[in-house]
Amino acid sequence: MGGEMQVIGLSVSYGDNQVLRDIDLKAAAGKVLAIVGPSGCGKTTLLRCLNRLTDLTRRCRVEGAIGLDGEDIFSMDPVLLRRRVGMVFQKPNPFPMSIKENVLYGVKAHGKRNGNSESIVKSALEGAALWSEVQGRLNDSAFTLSLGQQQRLCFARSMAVSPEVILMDEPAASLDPVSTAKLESSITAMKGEYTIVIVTHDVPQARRVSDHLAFLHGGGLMEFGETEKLFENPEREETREYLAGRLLAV
Amino acid sequence: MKAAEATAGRQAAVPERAALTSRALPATAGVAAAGNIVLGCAALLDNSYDAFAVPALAGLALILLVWLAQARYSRGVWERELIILLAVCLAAGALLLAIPEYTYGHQINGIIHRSLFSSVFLLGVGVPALCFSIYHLLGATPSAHDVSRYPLIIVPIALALGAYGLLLARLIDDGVSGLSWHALTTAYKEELQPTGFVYDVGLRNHILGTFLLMGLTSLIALPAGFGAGMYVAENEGWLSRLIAFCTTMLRAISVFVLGVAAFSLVDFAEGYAVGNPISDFIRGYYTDASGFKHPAEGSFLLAAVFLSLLAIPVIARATEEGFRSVPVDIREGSVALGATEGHGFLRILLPWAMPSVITGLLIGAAEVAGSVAVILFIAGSGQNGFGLFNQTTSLSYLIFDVKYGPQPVQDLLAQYQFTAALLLVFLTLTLTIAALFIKHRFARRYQGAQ
Repeated sequence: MGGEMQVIGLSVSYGDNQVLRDIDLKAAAGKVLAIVGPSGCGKTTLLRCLNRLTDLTRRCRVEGAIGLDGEDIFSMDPVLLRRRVGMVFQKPNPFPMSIKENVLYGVKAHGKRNGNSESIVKSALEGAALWSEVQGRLNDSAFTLSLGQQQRLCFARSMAVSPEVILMDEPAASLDPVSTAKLESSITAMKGEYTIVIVTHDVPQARRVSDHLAFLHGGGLMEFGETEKLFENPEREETREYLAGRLLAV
Repeated sequence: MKAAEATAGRQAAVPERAALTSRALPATAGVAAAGNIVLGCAALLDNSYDAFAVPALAGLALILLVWLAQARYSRGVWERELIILLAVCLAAGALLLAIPEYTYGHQINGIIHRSLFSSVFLLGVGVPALCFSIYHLLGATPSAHDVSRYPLIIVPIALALGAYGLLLARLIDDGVSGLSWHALTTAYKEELQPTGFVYDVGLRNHILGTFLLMGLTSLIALPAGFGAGMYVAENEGWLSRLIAFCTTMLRAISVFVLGVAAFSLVDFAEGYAVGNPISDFIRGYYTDASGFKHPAEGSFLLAAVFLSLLAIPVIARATEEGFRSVPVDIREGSVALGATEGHGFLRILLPWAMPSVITGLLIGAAEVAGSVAVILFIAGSGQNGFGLFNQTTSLSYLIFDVKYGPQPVQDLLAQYQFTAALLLVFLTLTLTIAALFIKHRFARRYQGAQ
């Protein structure tokens, strides 16, 4: 069962530039939370806080609390945190290794030396809807795959270490519609087993895959709640406008 | 109707003729310009071609003049570039007529034949003229402009390659005669016999010396350079900047200064007796037939330490570039999977940077093989044996030794001067090709299809 993540009073600034202001939201266990909003509203920054990738950015100040199953993530060992909260990036970033080595990278990094690497690879690739396409060529370089396949490989790679939460930063942004559909069906199939937080600028996609929706604008949380409620009966005018596909005044 | 058709027909005929003449003149000019270029190259090689320089320039000037007139007649304008070319051509010819066949004095330490000037002028006039001609031959379109600039690139490259080729040919010609199994396996030795001095003549110790210097230097420079480069690439802060500054400044030290510094250390070590570690490490020693240890004038160890100061910046820069070239998203991908920095370093960063590091190492080794200034004052002919603590020597030092060394060396090893040079060129070439090969082959494997 996936873990629950809670964000309380999160504020992030890069130098003098405040990117996020006082965000409160929750990613319920085993459900999909979609974060939507216009470009530059801080969606990616919020996502990167959840696995403390913001630690790698200089001059980035993070205030507030984030909890994973009740534990404060800022007092955890970040390496251990990232073993429980995985990430798939916007642009596919396979390692310069074979497909099999890519999937097993995280497993080997965590030091788990069990003999059934074959089954781990198979189940991870099946979960990412990639197994049938690559089962005969696991030792080929990951770069021989198409962009959509590479992205699914990255998805498989993050699933192979059995995290509790998977973060996805606009995972279908570089993909064609067919690959996008395959990725979305994988996400829906993973519900329950993982908690998924997905940042997307594709509003219909958010409606298709998510259970909860957080609408960000200008660094602040406009509205947060169940997806269907936000689409049918939002509380704020801006939410209605944005989800209907209309541009918002900056 | 008929009159209009007739006029149109006549107008169609006129462009035909204009096209022909507007092609013939650029073509002729191009040929003349090419001839000038070839003559210019020939004059570099043989003084006697100088006599044709002025006629060639005059011929080109004539063709340019005709072209200028034709352009004025058919298009009613004075072509500005043609005027400039013509003027330069005439000026060059006039200057050449004014220069005497031999120039001396004027604080020049030598005698210069006029063919030096004539080849410069011929090339300087011929190349632009050729570009211009090709441009008009191809129809004076924007694409023709790009294509017509090729002589500007090709001629200098051809000259440089030609010069290298001639040098190499001369080197092979002079050096091959000294290559023999005997020469390669015999070490130079002077032995005092009751009958007088007896000599063994060979390159063995010099060759081994070159390899030992390369190996020892790599042993010292690789960890230091790799560490420095890696630290600078992966960290920021005052220490990183300090290390980067130091490695750059190392490069700025003149090799001659390094050689003098090495020698002054030897001078300092002369205050210590042979057998004392300070003397042994710095000066080196050799044991004679009766078992006595004598001090030498600079050991291989000392030479390697100073040569590594040459190689460290090369390796450090290559390492830094290698690590900096790892894309950010691959690094983040590793971190996001919960891998420790150490694991990411060993499995991703290091393999990615390795081709650059190895390339840097091989280039550095090639530099070390050829360097002589650093060991200038501390090297010998290897006649007292070969080993870590023996006096340093190398092929590059031999080339210097034959001219400025002691008399026996000058007489006996003179035949191997070009052979040593040839061996060095061969060694450096092999190292450089190996470096390129590794970079190409492993870059594809470890750096993906980027």
